[in-house]
Amino acid sequence: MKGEAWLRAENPATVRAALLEKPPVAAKLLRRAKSPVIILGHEASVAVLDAVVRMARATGAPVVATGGISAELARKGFTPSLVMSAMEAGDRLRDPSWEPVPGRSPPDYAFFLGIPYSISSVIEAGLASFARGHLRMVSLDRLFHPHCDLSLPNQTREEWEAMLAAIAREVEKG
Amino acid sequence: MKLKVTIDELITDRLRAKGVEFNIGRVIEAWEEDPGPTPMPGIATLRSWDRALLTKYHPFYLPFCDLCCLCTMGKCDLSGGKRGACGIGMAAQQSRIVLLAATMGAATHAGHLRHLLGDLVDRFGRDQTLDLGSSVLLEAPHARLVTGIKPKTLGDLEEIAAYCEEEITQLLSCCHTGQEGDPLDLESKVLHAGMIDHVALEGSDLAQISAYSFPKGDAEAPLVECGPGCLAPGKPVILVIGHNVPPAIAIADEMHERGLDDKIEVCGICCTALDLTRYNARAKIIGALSQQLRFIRSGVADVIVVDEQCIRNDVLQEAMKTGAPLIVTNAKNLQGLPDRTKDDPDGIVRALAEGKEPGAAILDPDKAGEVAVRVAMEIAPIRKATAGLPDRAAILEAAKACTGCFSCMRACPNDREITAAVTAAAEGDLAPLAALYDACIGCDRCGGACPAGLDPHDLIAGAYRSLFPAERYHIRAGRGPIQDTEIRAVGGPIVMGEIPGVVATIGCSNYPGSWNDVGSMAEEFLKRRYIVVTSGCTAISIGMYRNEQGEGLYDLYPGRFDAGGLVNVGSCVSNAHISGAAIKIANIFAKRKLNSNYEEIADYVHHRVGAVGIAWGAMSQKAAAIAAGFWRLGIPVIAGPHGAKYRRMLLGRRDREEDWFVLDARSGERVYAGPVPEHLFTVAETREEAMVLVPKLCMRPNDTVKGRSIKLNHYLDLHRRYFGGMPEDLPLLVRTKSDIPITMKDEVVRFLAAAGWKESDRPIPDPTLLPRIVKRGGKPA
Ligand code: SF4
Ligand code: SF4
Ligand code: SF4
Repeated sequence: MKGEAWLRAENPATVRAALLEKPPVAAKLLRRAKSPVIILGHEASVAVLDAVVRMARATGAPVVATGGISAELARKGFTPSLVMSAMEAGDRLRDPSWEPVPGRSPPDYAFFLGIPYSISSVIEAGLASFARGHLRMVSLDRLFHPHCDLSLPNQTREEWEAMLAAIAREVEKG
Repeated sequence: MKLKVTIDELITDRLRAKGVEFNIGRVIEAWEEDPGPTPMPGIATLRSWDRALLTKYHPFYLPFCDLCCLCTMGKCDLSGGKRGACGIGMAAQQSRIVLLAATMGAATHAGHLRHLLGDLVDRFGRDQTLDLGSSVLLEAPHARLVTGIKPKTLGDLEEIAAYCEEEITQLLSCCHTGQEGDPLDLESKVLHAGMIDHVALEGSDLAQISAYSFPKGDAEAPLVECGPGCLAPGKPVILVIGHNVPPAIAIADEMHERGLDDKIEVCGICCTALDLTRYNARAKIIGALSQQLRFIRSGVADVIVVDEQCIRNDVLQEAMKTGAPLIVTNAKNLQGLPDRTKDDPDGIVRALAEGKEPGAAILDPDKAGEVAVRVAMEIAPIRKATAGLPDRAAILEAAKACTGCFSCMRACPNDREITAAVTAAAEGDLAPLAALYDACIGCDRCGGACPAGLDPHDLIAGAYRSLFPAERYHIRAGRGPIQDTEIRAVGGPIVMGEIPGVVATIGCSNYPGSWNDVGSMAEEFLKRRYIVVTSGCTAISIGMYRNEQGEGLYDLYPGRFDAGGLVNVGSCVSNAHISGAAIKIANIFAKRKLNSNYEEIADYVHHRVGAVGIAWGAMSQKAAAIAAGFWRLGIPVIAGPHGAKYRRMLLGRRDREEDWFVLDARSGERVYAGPVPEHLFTVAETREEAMVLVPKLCMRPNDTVKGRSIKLNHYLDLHRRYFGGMPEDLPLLVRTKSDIPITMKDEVVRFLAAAGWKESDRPIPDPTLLPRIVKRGGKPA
């Protein structure tokens, strides 16, 4: 079940995300992306937030905070680049000219996590069709997301937190 | 009105005749206002208005399914830019499915209108007058606006229904393979379906309010009882489910005639229950749609009577498990039962009470009412429910079979922590199961998925059932329309922005979390003196919320359409009164012409009436149609997370300045008006995100300085509380320094200075998207 959609009825058409199981591989994606962006939803726990902040600081990737998670980030002394809804973030990512931070080139990689499955799965399905030419999508979520290009497997919360901490460590190694 | 014309002698180019007699079935009388430019618009008549909206609010498509399987050339994989065998692309396919959903919704409401009219005309006659009381003279804003008909009788509503049916047929035909292929033209048709839907909704409520003397815009409609704990133990129980109220009313009448008012409990789920309490305040509302399965399975109901819409498709099997006979009363939902409409009631009662037949179709409401009451009286003392919700011992025993495989959770739309809760139950702790109760939508997908044969749905409801007696609440019976006098009183403050907004919390109960979320949202905006309007299952859920002091909102807040009022308009069909209130503001307060003048009225509403819908649990195609009716009037709607599955959003881009220009009707100049309202349809990830969106989506280009300042005050306060800090779009929403809320002046000024904000040197425009308004020198209201 690692590389199956968590919600069993959620199936993509003919292409399914590759399974991303090794923290160094995920870290490499974050480091090597020309212009990564992290879209972070409210389901992130404190431990997940810690890991995301470390990743963002190490790579300079802008963080788009959705669903009110910006308040938690503020408590950690971290200011996200943008506060907007997941839908708005998805809509912006569809636009190949969108600059999440003015002057920075449009994202080539979007990393999603912590957004409710019912929202993120359809945003990813939309971008798989409408942003195919300019964007690759990686799910760092607790659940496997088949519409992305790559996705972490289905995990327990503890496994997820440990996985993200490991990715953050790898990213920080440079 | 029927008309008979006799002509002694008729001479035309082709005909010479004597003693000609015409019988004209119905004549609709003209009304005092001349018709505007768009009487009875067809599917493309309002296309340019739709395009004007869709230029600001771009569809963002969300393929809930990558495939199309509508014709035998498919299945076609449309993902990644591929086209189907018919040439359709993913964007048009998603629009097409949205159109299909909205058309289905509109058809369901129009079908309901037709059915209701059939019953009411049979009973009261075609000439039965429509009467919403002396405080509601503008009785049918939608019908007048769209069709140009000012309906006076049930018969007039038949003409309106015929128009809706024609449009719905045309819209459905657009979904056929090889028809409309342009996404924006499909979106325009979605908006058309929505507009038609509200005409049909209005017709239904107008008919039933008039015929059954429901409250007529009464802000003090009675408080009625709600929740499973409100049923008196020991009495026979008749449960009604659905949306078409005549059979339920016939039950209430039959009880009354037989002197059984105190001897039987008649209760309901969903809109039939809401409408029944508008007729008879003694009836009880069990709960919203999500309570349906668990209440049936509780075995409390002795007889179940269903009509149409939102009824579980397995209702017969479920009823049979509890030994309760099922009476279906509507040809749209026969459940395979024999049609006993023409049979002698004695025989039907015997067959059902003795368990010889599991149910019957009785399509005559009066007969259905009689049979339901008689069967309830006969069966209640002897019925032995063959199933029911499990008790503690049964739950503990069943839970031991759980293997921890997670199949239930992988079927659960709300991703509830079922496995851990069942495992805890196996160890003797039922609390985690009971804690899932109010965030469970009662779908029972978990039950179907469990390889060990458990039914977590039942375990959850069973673990909670000791708390049922405490589930007793109040809800204000649906009041129906907003009075003309109320519109006169609040029109100015709403348009100026001094009442910060009208928040319509409506829709189904497919909530992503606890149903209390809708109550807490309503409470927040009531405290902030918004006008909170509600209907349908959401109105019920608001009733089932208690604040920190243990108080119910309907007990606390008045039912008037005014700042701080909690206005339950009624059932699904009553939603037309909410959009109708916006239309009435344009007509009664601003004196804009109504008759067949859709674009101008929608243009007014969009730019001036700060209203927003929250459909937190929207589930159905009907909800899609209702939302589309708000969109065409330019009123934004926020859905809960499951709303993303409607397949597309209508989103604005505040970062694209060019999208936010309007015409100033005074000068004809194109002027920047700011990104307000920013979206037409979006979903919020959390309750908190929805609450921050509300004040922003209530902003309008026409807000006065005082009004914008009040709206910004709420936006900044909620943003600070739930998101932390100042919103990055603040510089786009503050036009001049006078807009800045006084209590936050220093902080806001500092923030704006850092963001490089420049004060606008233009006056507030008289905004419009319609060049013809400028040409004729239209003046601001
Ligand atoms: S309607 Fe078009 S896309 Fe759909 S199955 Fe037929 S050919 Fe394929
Ligand atoms: S019945 Fe409740 S717990 Fe079961 S799948 Fe549906 S929402 Fe989830
Ligand atoms: S599906 Fe059944 S056996 Fe599996 S975890 Fe859920 S309750 Fe237990």
